[in-house]
Amino acid sequence: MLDFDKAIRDKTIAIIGCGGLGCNLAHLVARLNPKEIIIFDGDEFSASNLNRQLFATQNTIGKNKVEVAKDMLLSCTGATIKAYPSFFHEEEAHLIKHANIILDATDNVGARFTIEQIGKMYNIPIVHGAINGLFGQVAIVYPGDTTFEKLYPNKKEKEIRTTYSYVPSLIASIQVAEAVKYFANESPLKSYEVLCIDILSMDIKKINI
Amino acid sequence: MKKENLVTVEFFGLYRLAYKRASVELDAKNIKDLFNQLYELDQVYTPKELKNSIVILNGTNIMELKKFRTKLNAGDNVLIMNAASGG
Repeated sequence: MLDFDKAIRDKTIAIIGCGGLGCNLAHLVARLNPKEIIIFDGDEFSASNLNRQLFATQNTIGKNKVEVAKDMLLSCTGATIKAYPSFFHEEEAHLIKHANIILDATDNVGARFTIEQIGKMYNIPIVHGAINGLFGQVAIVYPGDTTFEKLYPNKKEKEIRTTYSYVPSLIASIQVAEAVKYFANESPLKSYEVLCIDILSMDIKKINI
Repeated sequence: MKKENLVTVEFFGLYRLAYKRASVELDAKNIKDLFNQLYELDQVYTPKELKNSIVILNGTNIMELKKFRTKLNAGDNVLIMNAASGG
């Protein structure tokens, strides 16, 4: 039987963003006990996050997201947690240069272009995830790929719709599964393959972007 | 009598919500013509706005083909979608 857990145990995982996707990613990765988790977010939890962000509670409103996450994660993992209470910019890139993979939990197109460049610079693959309303997508951006240029040709956000707890949870679960499959060399998504999921119609498509 | 060039247009994500249907069959000779016909069908997006969508023809992004001048043949499958960007 394949030991998927083993594939991640000596790895450093960088998570950019600690919102809907990022909280779920951090929790799911922590339970797999990697060597190190690095997480960035300069934002604080607010009441509007309660509907979908795992670590948002009445007790954490007003607190920095990654500081809350660190406390929560330390109680369920043996991984070293490095929590940076700041938004991720090129200036912070050196803090993740030793990462084995980047998990994309950003909430805007501009940040994704930044991490695509950093992934290329340090030769780190990115497991991309994004959500909007009841749909989302997952892809692996291998170093040098220009997946985000193809996904966001106008470099603009389209209309953003309200999302719910089960949407980031689903997309984050697939992101983590793809990260582990990548480490285990067990048929991860290929370059420019995008897994698109529409929960409203329960339609799942794998497209070549 | 003009021969029909029926293609299946599938909608995904915001486009499925906007058009309130999963797919439609249209008689179109190329992608630009298809956008015009979609606008005739439902004014939810103008042809210019539809150029912001991701269009996949039989599994290939039309940006890898002849973009909006890409010809369509009877039986083609055209997927119109957008990428989510929230986190």
